[in-house]
Amino acid sequence: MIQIHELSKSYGSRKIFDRVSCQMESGRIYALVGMNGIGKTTLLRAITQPECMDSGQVLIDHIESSIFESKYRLFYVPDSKEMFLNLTGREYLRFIIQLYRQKPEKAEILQRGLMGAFKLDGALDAYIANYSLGMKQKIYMAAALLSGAGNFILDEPFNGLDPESISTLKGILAERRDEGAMVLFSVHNLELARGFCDEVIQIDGEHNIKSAKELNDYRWVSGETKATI
Amino acid sequence: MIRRLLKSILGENFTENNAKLAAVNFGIILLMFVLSGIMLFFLPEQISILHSGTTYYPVPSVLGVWLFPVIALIVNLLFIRQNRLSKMNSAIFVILLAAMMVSYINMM
Amino acid sequence: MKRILCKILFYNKANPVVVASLCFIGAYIGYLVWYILNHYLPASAADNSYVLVSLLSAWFCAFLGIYQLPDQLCMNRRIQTILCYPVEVRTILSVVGMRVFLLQSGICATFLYPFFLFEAHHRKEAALAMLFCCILTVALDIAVILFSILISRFCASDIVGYAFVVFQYGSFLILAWLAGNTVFSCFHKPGFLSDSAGVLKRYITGQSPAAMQGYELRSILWIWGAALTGMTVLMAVLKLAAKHWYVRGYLNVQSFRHRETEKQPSVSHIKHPYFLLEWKRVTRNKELIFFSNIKNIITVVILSRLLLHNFSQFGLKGTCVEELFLLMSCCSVNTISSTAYSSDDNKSCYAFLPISGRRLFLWKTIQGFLWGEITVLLFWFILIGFERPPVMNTFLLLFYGTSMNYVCVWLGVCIDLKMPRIVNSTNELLHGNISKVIVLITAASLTVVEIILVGGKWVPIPLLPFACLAGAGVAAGEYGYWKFCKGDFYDTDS
Repeated sequence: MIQIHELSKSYGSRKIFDRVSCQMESGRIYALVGMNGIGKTTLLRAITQPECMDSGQVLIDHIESSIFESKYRLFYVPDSKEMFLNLTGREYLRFIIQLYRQKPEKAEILQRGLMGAFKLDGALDAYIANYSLGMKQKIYMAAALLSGAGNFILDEPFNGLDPESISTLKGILAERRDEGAMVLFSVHNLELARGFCDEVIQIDGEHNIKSAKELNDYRWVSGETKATI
Repeated sequence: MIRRLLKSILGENFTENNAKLAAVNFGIILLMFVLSGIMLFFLPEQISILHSGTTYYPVPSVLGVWLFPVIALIVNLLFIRQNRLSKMNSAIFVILLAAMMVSYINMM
Repeated sequence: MKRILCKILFYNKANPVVVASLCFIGAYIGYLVWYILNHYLPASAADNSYVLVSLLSAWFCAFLGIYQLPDQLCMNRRIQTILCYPVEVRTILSVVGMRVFLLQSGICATFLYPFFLFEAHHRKEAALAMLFCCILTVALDIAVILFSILISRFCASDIVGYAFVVFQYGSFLILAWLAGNTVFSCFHKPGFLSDSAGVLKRYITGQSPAAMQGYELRSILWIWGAALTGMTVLMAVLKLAAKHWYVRGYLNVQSFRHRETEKQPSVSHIKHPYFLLEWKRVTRNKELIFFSNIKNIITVVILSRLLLHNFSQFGLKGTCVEELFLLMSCCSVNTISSTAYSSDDNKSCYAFLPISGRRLFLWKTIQGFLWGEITVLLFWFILIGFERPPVMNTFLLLFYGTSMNYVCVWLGVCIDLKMPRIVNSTNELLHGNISKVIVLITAASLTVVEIILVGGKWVPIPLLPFACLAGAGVAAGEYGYWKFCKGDFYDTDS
């Protein structure tokens, strides 16, 4: 669960957020939508790196995000796919398992399952630098799922994935949601969110954060999202 | 074995081309060490490794003879660290090898 | 986990072959330095040469710390990725600090091991000097880390990058001045090393307490007590600074690099597409200009002052040797040309755009040449202002500077094209730029050959006109190569 209170952020004299608040409950999947450059990535960064905020408070599972302990409760996959390039896939996953203090035996079983589902078994000993965009996306997602965190913050998680992997990832995230995890992902292609997310969070032109329930622009009709411009 | 070593030295920059270039560079440096070792038998007891103007600073040849190969080894490690493997730096090692042999022949 | 973290932060490629090579290189250099000092220092100083070596190794360690620690802690972009994960700040600091300290310990060991192994009567002193160097290094490292955190946290984001440049480069100049004075004193002041050794033995490493008078013992206790207290206070302040200021400071430095500003960039009036590409490459790296045109000039002046006295022995006094060297050096340290391709973020797009590789090369050369020419003109004005050479020499010097500028820029761009380098930050290019070193060595070799040819009477004309001719000849050769060997510039033009 993530609660944002009175968050403000500006770049120079350009205000991105002015005392905005919202709440994301456990056991739900949220799609974050908005125009390009409106502040989606800034919002995700503010949640994961409290030092980026100018003012405000973010609580992760009721722990303030400036407290170190809160970092174990979330996993952030940024939009940049140029991370940990000099590690092999296996080294990276081991690093995440150690970092998030997961039990090695349990994590090993889960890792095997995930690698099978994402079809990455054969590439685990190659350097991430030599992965394709889709493979990089899959390994970062696998790390998120191995971390045991209860809140997933994913910036454009479906970029570069083939249709089969998208459906696999959606299935796994839905499973995690059913186990009580919270998933917040930013997306441009609304088709990808259809029938998958439980709620849409929109950043509007005035940089306000609105939930889909209050929005006229997004209508939910039998699980179908329609954007009217 | 050599391939595995090159793989661990080059890390994520390991490609067939890089491996070939790194192998060539290491080969030239090895050759420099071997030639320096052989030249030890023909060089005088003291050789000059540094001179400023007219003042010479000789050192025993058994010590001074390894200077060129060591410089080449340092340069090679720098090239690998900076991921700059190309035909041009192999050419630099060939020039260093030639300069080394010319200086030895001058000292003989 | 720390090992993987080290690999992530440093792009570490440590493996047995590299480690063995480094050990061999260290052992060889240490022994060579020991041998040379023992044989070529004045007899009175040779017995205490370990003092000089410990001072020099402390100098190298300080240099490494001042350049590596701020770079790795405040400018390393990979830390931003790590900050999203549950990695504590103290873990990052300890990984970076330990890595740098290991390198520094290696430097101390390299320089001091021969005194320990081969001079039985100096074994104790060498071991204590090594220990002293390590303690001094740790204290310096802590101070550098603390200072870096303070700079990054309390300087505004528009100037924080420059503050780091001033800090690192200012410290380098102070260190260079100290090292130069130390080495000079060793050779020209006979009592310098023995006096220093006396101080070291008496107050730092300590004689046997029985041989000391009461006040000496008290002095030693005071010195060590003050040093330990100072270290403890520094550590405590560092711990607080790391906890409260480090992350915000780091993000402040990152925002200097990717500053978002309200100010609209001015409309460019450059119509030529290749020149526009190059102009944008250079102007978006403000540090690049700052470094290349100010730092290099200061370095050239200092190094030339240190090195030039060697060439007085060629008997070429009054033939502009100093001026040639100054001009040649300031031409060859042109950062804009030696990072022409490495600092170009667009280079991956050139392969599929209708861009001629050869014309791009030419415009990269022109861009570097224009920036380099500013330095040449500046030097030229200073030279004629201070030294007032004859009119003919004045113009020949300008011609020499311009031709060498073209020669060096062409070579720098060519090396960066032929030996492409992938880097994670422009900073890496600016500090560890091996292309610049290769250009400098080549240009210096050319000048030395010219001096030798004229000094040995193999060439019947004076040095300055000969150097001008040689420079122009090489420049013409380079231009000809560009003109006729199209394939070497990956040209797709018909």
